[in-house]
Amino acid sequence: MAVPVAAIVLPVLAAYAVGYVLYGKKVLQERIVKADASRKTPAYTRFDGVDYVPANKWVLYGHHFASIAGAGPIIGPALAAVYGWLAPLLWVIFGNLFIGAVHDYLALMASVRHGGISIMSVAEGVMGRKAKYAFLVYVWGALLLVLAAFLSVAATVYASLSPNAATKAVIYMPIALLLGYLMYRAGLGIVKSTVVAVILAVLGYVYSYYVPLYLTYSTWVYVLMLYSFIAASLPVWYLLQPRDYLNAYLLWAFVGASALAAFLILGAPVKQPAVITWVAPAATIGGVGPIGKEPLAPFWPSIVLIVACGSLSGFHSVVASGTTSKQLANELDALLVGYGGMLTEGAVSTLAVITPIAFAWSDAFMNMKPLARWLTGYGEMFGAALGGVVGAEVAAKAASIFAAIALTTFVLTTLDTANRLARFAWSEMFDFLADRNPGVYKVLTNRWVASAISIILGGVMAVQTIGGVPAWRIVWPAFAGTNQLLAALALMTSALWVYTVLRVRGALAATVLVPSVFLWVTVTAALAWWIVVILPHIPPVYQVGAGSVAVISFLLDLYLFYAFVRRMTSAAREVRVEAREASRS
Amino acid sequence: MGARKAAGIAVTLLSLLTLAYVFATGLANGMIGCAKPVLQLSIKTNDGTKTCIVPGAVVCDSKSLAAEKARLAKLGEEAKQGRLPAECSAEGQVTGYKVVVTPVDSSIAVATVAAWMGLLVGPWLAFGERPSSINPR
Repeated sequence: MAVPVAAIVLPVLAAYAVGYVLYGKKVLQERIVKADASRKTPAYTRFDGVDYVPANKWVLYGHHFASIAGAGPIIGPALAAVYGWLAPLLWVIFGNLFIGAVHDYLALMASVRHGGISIMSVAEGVMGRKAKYAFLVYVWGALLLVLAAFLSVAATVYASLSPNAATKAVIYMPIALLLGYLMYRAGLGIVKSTVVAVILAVLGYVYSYYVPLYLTYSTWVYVLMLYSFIAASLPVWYLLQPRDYLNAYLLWAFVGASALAAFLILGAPVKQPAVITWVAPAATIGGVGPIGKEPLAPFWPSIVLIVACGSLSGFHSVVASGTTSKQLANELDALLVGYGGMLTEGAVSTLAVITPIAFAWSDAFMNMKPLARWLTGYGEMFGAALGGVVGAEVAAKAASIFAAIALTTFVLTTLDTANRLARFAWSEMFDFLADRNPGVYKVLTNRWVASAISIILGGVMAVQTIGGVPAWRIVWPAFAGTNQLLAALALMTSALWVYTVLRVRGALAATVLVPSVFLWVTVTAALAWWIVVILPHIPPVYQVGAGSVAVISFLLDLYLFYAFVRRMTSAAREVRVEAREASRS
Repeated sequence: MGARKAAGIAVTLLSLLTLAYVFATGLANGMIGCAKPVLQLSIKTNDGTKTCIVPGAVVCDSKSLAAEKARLAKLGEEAKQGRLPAECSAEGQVTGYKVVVTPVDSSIAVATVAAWMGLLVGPWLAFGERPSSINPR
């Protein structure tokens, strides 16, 4: 018997509302971290007008949300639909509440309490110096891959798929600059400035809908490299904060419209079976070539690589402890920004992706690519919800265009934020030179130099081909594993921070320790599965590229887990000694 | 006024003027820059399916683009009926066709992105690095 749409939508909303208040606020914020509004954040104590600048919590929420929400929360759950709707939905909800949002919030707060340094550098304090540098090099490499991928994706979208999106990008940036000027220099205030910017943005959308901008792929790559180089070096208040704040309105409109459409069809039956299979085709976890259709992706542990940032993502900890922690004005804002940001991304996955696909499912969906699967489902859900008002076809077409706009808007955001984060990671890698050779340190960590090095290397991977395949694509099948491994390592670092620095014990400590070990086991199993089962069957060029990355990731994974266990063991010993001494005295 | 501020104001104004011109031209032409539609024919031969590409003319306004796309679509229909264009020598049955618009670099499109970059750095040069206060707004 088919269940109604309400069976998906209502539990999702209830879980997020209850989880945010009872778990996020009462447990994480008040009992574990003990966030304190009177404690000065790095945005004030290390204010430099460039990277350390306090932001209004809604502005910062916009930045964080827009930076962590790329294509992942859409593509991941759309890919996972081959399992049915139930298991991916549960993975997203529980993954959000107990792993993803905890990971984002703690990475943010650990960074804030350590002067705004990255979670990789926080690892030095809890796991040692070697762990810090291994972690930093790994993250910097992953960010170069993100830069290459997003340069290529953005250039493809603008040159081939949607030249109108290119016009929109050109119009949008000056509006964001104007918003920043009005808020930060003219002192117009956030409400008036927002009204002006939103009106201009809407007019810009209308213009770009009718007027495409044509440039070739290679020209776009070079233009976007230049853009990313400049944007990643400019002060955050100038472009990043206002642009991402504006983006958040678009994303909220997207989430709100999805929720509205789902509410209008609450009684309609879900056509997709709750469970279709427990073993999906290999292509869903990066099986390239002929192996793609073989049923080689068991739900566990593959799901952690498939759903990716719809549920949790390591990239989030780099953003939280990179750009976000340097702009947090008040420790109490971290709950909305870090925990709330992840739940909002989960809402995108559940309400805007899993629900429409489940509602509109047919056998043809099995053979569609994930993006087409989602766009079709999204359009059909709107057709059913609003068809009585504007006609089913018009509603479906408008929804598909809106969805494509929402997707492409965040490509550019991720591009320059990733370059800024790569700049931070690069600079922290040379901390050891600060006292030994200040001159060299100053040159290497100069923001323009650091920004140029990262984007040039990313650009090379975007334009260079190997055996006819773009260099970044050869490595990309391993990226899901790299990213989720980063999440496991960041959560382990956070757990150690909670245990050894915040000195949280007992059941409260377990709320962080248990998810971190569970995530590590799941990601390690998924990586091992990919290396042993998938890798031997993919084309040789991918075996070399993605295979090397996966094996390096696996070795690093084992080393950092060893460091984690060693530190946990010594901390537990210290606790026992303290307890013994306390009982004697 | 310092040299940096003067340069910033000059770059900003120049970029704004360029963008104003580009957007007005874009509105009049229905597009910014130029594009070249191409016809892609799928031909089933004894050796399998091959793709034959028939390039169209480079056009720089939306009306000409629509006309060129229509011309190529007509060629595609004719090819399906057996009248293959001269560019396609393969012998076989045309099973399908599509007209794809490919972008072409043009001076106006390059000027657009140059002005875009100018607007990114111009105000920063003109107004300096720091916000007027550190109070979050």
